[in-house]
Amino acid sequence: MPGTAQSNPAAPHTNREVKVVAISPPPSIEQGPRSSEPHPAPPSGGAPLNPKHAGAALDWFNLFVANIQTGFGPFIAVYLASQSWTQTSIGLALSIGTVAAMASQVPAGALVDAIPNKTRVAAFSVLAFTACALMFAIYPIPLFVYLAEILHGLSSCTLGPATAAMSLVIAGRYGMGLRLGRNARYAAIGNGVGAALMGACGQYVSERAVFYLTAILTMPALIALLPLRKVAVARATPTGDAESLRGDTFKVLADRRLLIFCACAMLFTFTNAPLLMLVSGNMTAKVGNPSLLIAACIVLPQVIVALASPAAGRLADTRGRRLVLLLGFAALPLRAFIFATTSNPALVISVQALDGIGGAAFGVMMPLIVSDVAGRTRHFNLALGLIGFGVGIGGTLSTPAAGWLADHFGIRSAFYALTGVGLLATALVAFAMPETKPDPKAEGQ
Amino acid sequence: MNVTRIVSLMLTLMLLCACHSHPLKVETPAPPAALQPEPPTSEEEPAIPPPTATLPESTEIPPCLPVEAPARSPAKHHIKAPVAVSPEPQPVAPEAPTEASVKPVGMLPSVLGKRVHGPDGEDYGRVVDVLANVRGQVRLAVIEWGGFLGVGNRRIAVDWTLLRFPADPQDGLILEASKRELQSTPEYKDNDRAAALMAAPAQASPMPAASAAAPPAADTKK
Repeated sequence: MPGTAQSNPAAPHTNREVKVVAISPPPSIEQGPRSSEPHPAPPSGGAPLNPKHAGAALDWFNLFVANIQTGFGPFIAVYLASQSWTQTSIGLALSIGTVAAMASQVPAGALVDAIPNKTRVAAFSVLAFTACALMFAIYPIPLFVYLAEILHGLSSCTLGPATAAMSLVIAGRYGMGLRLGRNARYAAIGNGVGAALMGACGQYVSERAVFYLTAILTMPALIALLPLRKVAVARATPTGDAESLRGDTFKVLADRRLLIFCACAMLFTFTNAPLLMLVSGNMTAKVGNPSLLIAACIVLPQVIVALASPAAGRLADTRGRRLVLLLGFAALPLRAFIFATTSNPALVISVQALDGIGGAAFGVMMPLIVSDVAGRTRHFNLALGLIGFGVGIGGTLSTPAAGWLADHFGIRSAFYALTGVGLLATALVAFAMPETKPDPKAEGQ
Repeated sequence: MNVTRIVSLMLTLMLLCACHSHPLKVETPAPPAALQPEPPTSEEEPAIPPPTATLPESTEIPPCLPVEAPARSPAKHHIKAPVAVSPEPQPVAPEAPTEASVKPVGMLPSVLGKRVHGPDGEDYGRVVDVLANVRGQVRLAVIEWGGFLGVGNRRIAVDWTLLRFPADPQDGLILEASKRELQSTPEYKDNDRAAALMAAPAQASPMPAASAAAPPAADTKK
């Protein structure tokens, strides 16, 4: 998705894009204090992790994963239409995918928490992507398509937390900001390159070839994981009985900071998701050659995210999370407002740069704040899943709502309504969201 | 143990979905083949013969029926049965005349998903839906075009008579409309305010008088 840290390259703002794949920052062993906290434990077994290799490996992994996710977005509807599917069946397939992705956010987070070797989880998720791509490409009968949709939803929801957890293991809590920024940068590069590649493939070869290409691109992702295969988290021995364990989970999930941020994330995605869809539909109606312009609308924010994410992470580490959040959130109603007032293609494309700013900020802050709140607990991935679920709800509700508004009251009213929601989100961040940056002195490090 | 539970839950979900697989083709209930004079692709054949349609004359399929041809009214009734959108299903009389039989039809490609090109070969997208009125006449095709990787696609409805079916079934269809006309047609929505791009009366094929008087289902030329 352009702008957001969700590694779904093609228009993350469509309703299918709400699969949150938390961008895990590349391991930041090479900078920041090597925290000596007991949890997570350093990688176990064998030679110690080479920091530079691990960092580069995670970078490439993020890039290729973002590449892979391009084909699984709204492009599936185009592909199935070319296979003579009826619109009803296509809608059903897409809904199954959305429901599967939403329903598996929280359980997948818990699953990733339970499995010590996060690299293994990531590897299996990528293998699942390969299977999905091949199911689409070779034999798109309903059974396989529904299966692939469910599998893809589940794998997206395990992959995000797994990469975030890998980063946390290697980065430590105090280096997460910059690392998450680097992760977002490489994911954005992967998004942009993936969109260009898949678009060209779909245009000049065939729609089916896009899925073959996706399957091929999963290989480099797996290879990138090889240096990281020893990354593991020592599972903290559960102390106490089942009662206290359940209480622990509840304590993490009910943390006020997490819940407020979940609400902010929901509102952000609610505003962000339909914007690209509305604007590009408008361009198709008005412009002679819309494909290139829409491609520019998708790729430009990715470029901005690639450029700005590490800076966002650094800023969050030095000046605090709230500042970055505010900047990113404020870009959103501004963008919606400008879209309401003009449909000049040149202006639209340049305003998409604001999408990049909002996306860089949100994409880096989302896993960062979760790691602030829950990084030391055993429920980091569960908390990630919770935020992902909120984002999913926001996105799933907003696209039909915006479409309905645009149908009945015109596209301008839809944009104004989205501006209002964006302002509400910004206000929530400004007045309710506390600062979550961990203070090393206060925590006795 | 948690992992096992989750994995078995996933498998159960997959099995449930497998049991509910949908048929791939259009889901309108098709009467048994034996009762149909024409093969079930009658929904996709226009009731109004397009000017350059090239149904091979050598097959045994009777040509498309103009609506007003009175001599064929029993067969017309049979054709309408699969595509009628009336609320209660019309029981097709089993004691139909001797026309009801299964005939080989050769290779007829699906219309759904077919590429559409402009008069000068420009890419106009794909056919994603075919709309018929209550009398069983195919009136409109819904075409999805534009966008990039599925983002920004736009659906419009066009008059069926604007489509030309080329000689080679593997080629795309030709839509006799300019890009500007496509862009000025409002987006197709499946509601009562739907609007479609209709052929100008002079440029449409010489339609039989009866079907010209058929109620235009919310058609407006934009």
